[in-house]
Amino acid sequence: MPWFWEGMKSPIRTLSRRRPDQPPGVTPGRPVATALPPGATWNPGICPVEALQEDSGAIAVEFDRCVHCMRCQQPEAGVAWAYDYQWARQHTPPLPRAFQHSIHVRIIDAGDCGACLSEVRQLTGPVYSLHRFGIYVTPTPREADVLLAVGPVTAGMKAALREAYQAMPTPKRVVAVGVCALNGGIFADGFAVEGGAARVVPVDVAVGGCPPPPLAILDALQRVIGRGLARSGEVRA
Amino acid sequence: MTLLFGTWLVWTLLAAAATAAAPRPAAARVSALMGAAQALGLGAVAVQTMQHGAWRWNLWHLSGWGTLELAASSTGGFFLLVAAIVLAAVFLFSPGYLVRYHGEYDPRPLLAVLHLLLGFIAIILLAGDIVTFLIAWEVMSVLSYFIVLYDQHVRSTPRAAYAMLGASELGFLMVVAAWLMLAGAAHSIDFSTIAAASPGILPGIRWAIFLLSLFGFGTKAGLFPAMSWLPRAHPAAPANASAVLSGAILNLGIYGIVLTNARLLPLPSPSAGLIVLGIGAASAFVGILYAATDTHIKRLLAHSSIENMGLITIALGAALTFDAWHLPVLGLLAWIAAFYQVLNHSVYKTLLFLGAGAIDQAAGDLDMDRLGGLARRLGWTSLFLLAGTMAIAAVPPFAGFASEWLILQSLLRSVAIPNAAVQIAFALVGVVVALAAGLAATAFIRFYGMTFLGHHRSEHAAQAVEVAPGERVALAFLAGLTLLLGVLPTYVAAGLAHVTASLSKSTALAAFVPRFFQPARLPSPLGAAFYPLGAGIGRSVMPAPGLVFMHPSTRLGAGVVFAMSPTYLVLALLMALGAAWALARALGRGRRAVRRRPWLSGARSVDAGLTYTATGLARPIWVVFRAVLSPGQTVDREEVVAEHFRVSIVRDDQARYVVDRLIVDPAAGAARGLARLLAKMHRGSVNAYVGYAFLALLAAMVLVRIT
Amino acid sequence: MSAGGGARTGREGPERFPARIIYTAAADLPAVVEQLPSAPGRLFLGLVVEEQEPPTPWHLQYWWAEPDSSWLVVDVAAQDPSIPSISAVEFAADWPEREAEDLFGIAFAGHPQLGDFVLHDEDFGESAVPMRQVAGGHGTTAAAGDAYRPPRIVEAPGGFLMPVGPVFSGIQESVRFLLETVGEEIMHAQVRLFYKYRGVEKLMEGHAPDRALLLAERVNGTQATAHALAFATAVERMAGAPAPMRAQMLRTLLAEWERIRSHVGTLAGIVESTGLSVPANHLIAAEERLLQQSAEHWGHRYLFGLVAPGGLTGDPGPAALGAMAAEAERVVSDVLRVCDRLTFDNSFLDRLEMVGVVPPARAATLGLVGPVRRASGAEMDFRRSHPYAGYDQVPPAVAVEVEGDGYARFRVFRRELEASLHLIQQLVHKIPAGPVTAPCSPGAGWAAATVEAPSGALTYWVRLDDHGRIRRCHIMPPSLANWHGLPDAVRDYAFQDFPIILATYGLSVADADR
Repeated sequence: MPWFWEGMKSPIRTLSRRRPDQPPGVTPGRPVATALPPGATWNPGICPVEALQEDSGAIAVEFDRCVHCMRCQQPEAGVAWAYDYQWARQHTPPLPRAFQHSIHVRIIDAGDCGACLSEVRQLTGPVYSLHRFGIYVTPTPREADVLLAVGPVTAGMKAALREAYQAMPTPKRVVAVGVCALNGGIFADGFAVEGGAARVVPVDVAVGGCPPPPLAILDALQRVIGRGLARSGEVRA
Repeated sequence: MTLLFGTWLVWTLLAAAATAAAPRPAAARVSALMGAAQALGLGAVAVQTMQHGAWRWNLWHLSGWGTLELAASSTGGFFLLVAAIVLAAVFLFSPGYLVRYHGEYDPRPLLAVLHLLLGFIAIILLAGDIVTFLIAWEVMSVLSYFIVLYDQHVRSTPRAAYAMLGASELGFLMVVAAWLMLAGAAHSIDFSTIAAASPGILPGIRWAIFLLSLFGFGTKAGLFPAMSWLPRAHPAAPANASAVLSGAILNLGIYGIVLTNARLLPLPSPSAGLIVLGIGAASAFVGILYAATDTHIKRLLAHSSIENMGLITIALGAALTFDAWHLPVLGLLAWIAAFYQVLNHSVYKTLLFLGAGAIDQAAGDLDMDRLGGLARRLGWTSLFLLAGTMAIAAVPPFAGFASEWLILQSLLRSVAIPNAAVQIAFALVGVVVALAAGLAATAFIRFYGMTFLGHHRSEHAAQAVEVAPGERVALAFLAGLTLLLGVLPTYVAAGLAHVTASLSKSTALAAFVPRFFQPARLPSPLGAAFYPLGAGIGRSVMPAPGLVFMHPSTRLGAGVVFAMSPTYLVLALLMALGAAWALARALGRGRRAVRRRPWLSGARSVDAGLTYTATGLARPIWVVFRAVLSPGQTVDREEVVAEHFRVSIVRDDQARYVVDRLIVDPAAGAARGLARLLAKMHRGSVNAYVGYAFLALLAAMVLVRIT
Repeated sequence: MSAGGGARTGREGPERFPARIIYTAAADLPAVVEQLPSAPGRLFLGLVVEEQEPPTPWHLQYWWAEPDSSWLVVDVAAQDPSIPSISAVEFAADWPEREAEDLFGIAFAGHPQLGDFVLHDEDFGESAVPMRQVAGGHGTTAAAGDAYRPPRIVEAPGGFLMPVGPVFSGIQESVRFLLETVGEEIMHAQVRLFYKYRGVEKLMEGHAPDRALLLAERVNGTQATAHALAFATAVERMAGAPAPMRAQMLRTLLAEWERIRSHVGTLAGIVESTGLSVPANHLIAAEERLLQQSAEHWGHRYLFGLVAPGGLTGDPGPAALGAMAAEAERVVSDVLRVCDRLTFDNSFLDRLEMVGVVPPARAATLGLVGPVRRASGAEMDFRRSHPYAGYDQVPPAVAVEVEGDGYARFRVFRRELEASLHLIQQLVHKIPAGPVTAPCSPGAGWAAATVEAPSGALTYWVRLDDHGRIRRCHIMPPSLANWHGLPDAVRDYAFQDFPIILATYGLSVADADR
């Protein structure tokens, strides 16, 4: 009971729905396509994973490869960064309308480093409060509508990921969270790594980043039910 | 009636003789046919006796003693009917079951003894005098010793059988002592004469008779504190014999208590009822505690028998107390509850013991830790045993619910007794009954789940084969009875009210089973005016007891105290099921179900070794009641290699049965100590003996002087 | 110390890394280990296996960190060697030996539990030796073996093995617990790790240090700074070029900031495991606040991409440092207030006190590290005993408790928050001006560095080839040592205590699995 009053007394920490980006630091930002000044040369070696390519006078970003090494964020790199969080890309139609107000998510850790999982855990915390969107974490894939996979899919977790997907009732969607779950990321070449959730289960929504911040994951989950977060985010050169 | 019963006795002898004389392969079938007829005949005798009451048959006149005779009573008739039902199922079950012992033991002696046993049970229940009763009782005890001894190659069997015989003889001696005192005081061996003379017996002698007979008959019924033989003897016998022991023979102890305390020597003191109540509560508590934690199916059932005998005794205690306080309606409620529990227990316990036999036969094992998944192998057996499990767990609409509910209600009605101490005692016993009901539910959910559901925990469980049709018929018969006894409790209660008429001081069943279309207390004058009209028509259409147990409060305007109807519950349940089925069909049209592997939390495979065992499931109960079940008797032995690597942990639990630990062992120890003391006195010295003689003389003189 | 057998002792090693080295023959290993000083703080760190040119293809280094950095070197001539196991005399070497056996195919004679460990038999054949570079190298996803059957040691009527995981009902990392029981209390526990084995050490091979750094940071994303710091320090030691002073002090500040965030997360886990959701959510919100501040001042919520060989990649400037110190104080005092209220909550204390007890002697035998070890009475902290970064300038206070139960661990985590806050406040005023990066171009050779990560001693052992690329990197993570000690702590406690004991250990699966 004392804890109840403690909870009542403490201020509301949940982010506003309209301006979720209000406190700085909810997103680390990401590199975006940047026009090069005329005649300028650009060192492609700055990106260790070849996510940035020079292409006819501009820097093109293949964000799916980005591992947030932060090297192109330095001012001298000359790459613009956007502080948005609509990072998700949707490959298939959203779930039917019946799921609009309530979806159940099963999370499978397929070998992540802990950062993505920590962001997912934050999502269920008071700041992001996943439940207010009608999104719930469910203990078993038997009751799940959405499979949220993090990590590059190791040999040890490959079967578990596949089993979890097969155990889910239809209709179902798979959200791959983090660059590792997209394509294995920095671990893609490992002998014990499958290289992305798509190698094992069909991915419907993919959100890159290393790790994607909770808002980006929330955006991805909203897309599964045909919604999305309010557009916002500034671009800083 | 005497002719009918005489014929039946002859048939009984014939059946025993024919079974013994038949060629070995055919013996079991001969026995089944003749036994079925025997049980049917006994059932006819029983129903006749219950309906038309007393008949007498003088057997032999003993000059100076009195007449040995059979004198039927409706109470005896009821117990006869129960025995007939049990034995009918057992005889049907036996031919298929005894195949299990083929090549090891001859089935004929066992079956012949069962035929004879039924005969002597009948004589006990019909006996009209002390001598006939006690002779038949002694023969019955010896015969039951033989049936326990049947599987004698198992090392523990002879000891178990001997323990039963010993306990039985101890109880017998006490009963003999009590009844000789009774006969001496009443100057007759005839039950009816004794009953007439008993009010004049001195209170001290009455109490001595009451306590001795209670302990004596309690030993046979497996009541506290003389029950430690039961969980050893009943599992040792073959399953069909265990069924007879639990379903028919235990009842004889109850019959003895009823006979002594309600007919021969009704003690007007409420304390007597409370003592019976207390013994019942102790038995129920210890019985169910062990049933909830044991993993051997037959031992579990034996412990559960102790619990059920305890429940019956609790109801008897309540009935005696209510009668002593002159509350006849409540007394009737308790009497009916007791007899209903006797009937239910015999039916479902026989079903479960025979089912245990089927499991043993099919899977070759009775330890639930090694069974599991049998429902997939034994479809019918598992279905029938589900009925038995629900019945014994007191789940409506099966037998067991109504009787346990009535027991609990009769305890709750103790508010009518104007004595705080009695009310507290009843309340405490009510707590025990509620606890026992809860533990019984967990115990039998565990029994069914661990035996029939889940993974096979052993190879022999995986290879189990369904039992013979005859066995299944026996199980189906009993399973059907449990359903019937559960669905129509008011009809059963009506029949039992007839039986208890001679014991109880009331026959007013209508006090808590209103007839159909009973005009209720209706507030509106309109309703009051119209209701009798409709009720009058309705009653002429359905001239039977209603389907609801309902007890209006004795206080005015307090409304109904309790109301319950499994019958309507079943109707509602069936309608709800039908509606759900229809709904599911309507909604599910055009959809197809897909079967997938179970989700194993990401593991590749799960085998039986990774699933809960019966021991594990009972562990929370074990932990809570550790002080009773096994205080500090668990020993872990560890083996460590390379200094730090534990490679084996062996756990031994040398728990000793609580009654043995707290009562039997100290008593035996004291007896041994006394014997040792006496032995020490015999040192062979003449001087010492002279000294003893002198001391004895002195003591005798002092005694004489005092008195 | 008198070295046994044919051991010879010296004080050498790479530059700036003095230690006692004992060379010994394989056969004498157990005898030599037995004679190592058994001071209370003795700590086995790990076993480094390296392939060499013939005639001695195998070079093994057994590492002890305390009380005196010493390592035992064994060169083995055989192609498929069998080496006497030292796990009987040094129990902490149990898992390192199993790991080496699984990855390199080196048999450890006398070890009772070899086989299926890092490489699960159902995914990799028993013959796979993926870490070998010369013989049978590269990752072999050989034909899968039989389905795993967990070993069982309990013989009790009705005993069974309760499997939990690898996928849990909540948001947890993948690991499997195998609890042997007869119901209620755990008689024997086993932890099956490496479901998440990514082969980071193998992946690093052949890459330049700045590329391998990305992998080091992502071994355990929630403690990225500690991993990057250990890796960078090792590389800098090899180059003989320490980072500039400002970078060293900023690294210290980052490491303490990360410690605060990690400990707040661990405390949130402990509170959550006891079912008190209000304080748990309070702490989760505090953790998020720290994450946001990390991104605000350093660009990344988990501080990726900051520490690099040679220094730091960025410098936030004095204003940001002041803001961080202020924010740290705000969050930590908030968390401490919640923790102090918890210490008056009976339902919380009942679940932690006298639960999961590891006595000091047992903790030493198991080779536990970090806060878990400090809660069992050992004053073991690498920031003090082997200062790195700027810790010689700002020696931290070491929190020690002696009870070794769950509550002692809770208090250690709590007190370390205070200590870290104090360090940050000191550091803000002590950071000198200057560059944050210096050139760092290491040549061939090897070096190692141990740092005190939030969960304990973390060691990186790095060997570079002639081109300055990584030939072999061995990570000795703190969680591996503490996972090894977990079964001991949960033994004889009830099922419902298990998640609580687990939470008080503050373990990371990714850290151990690599």
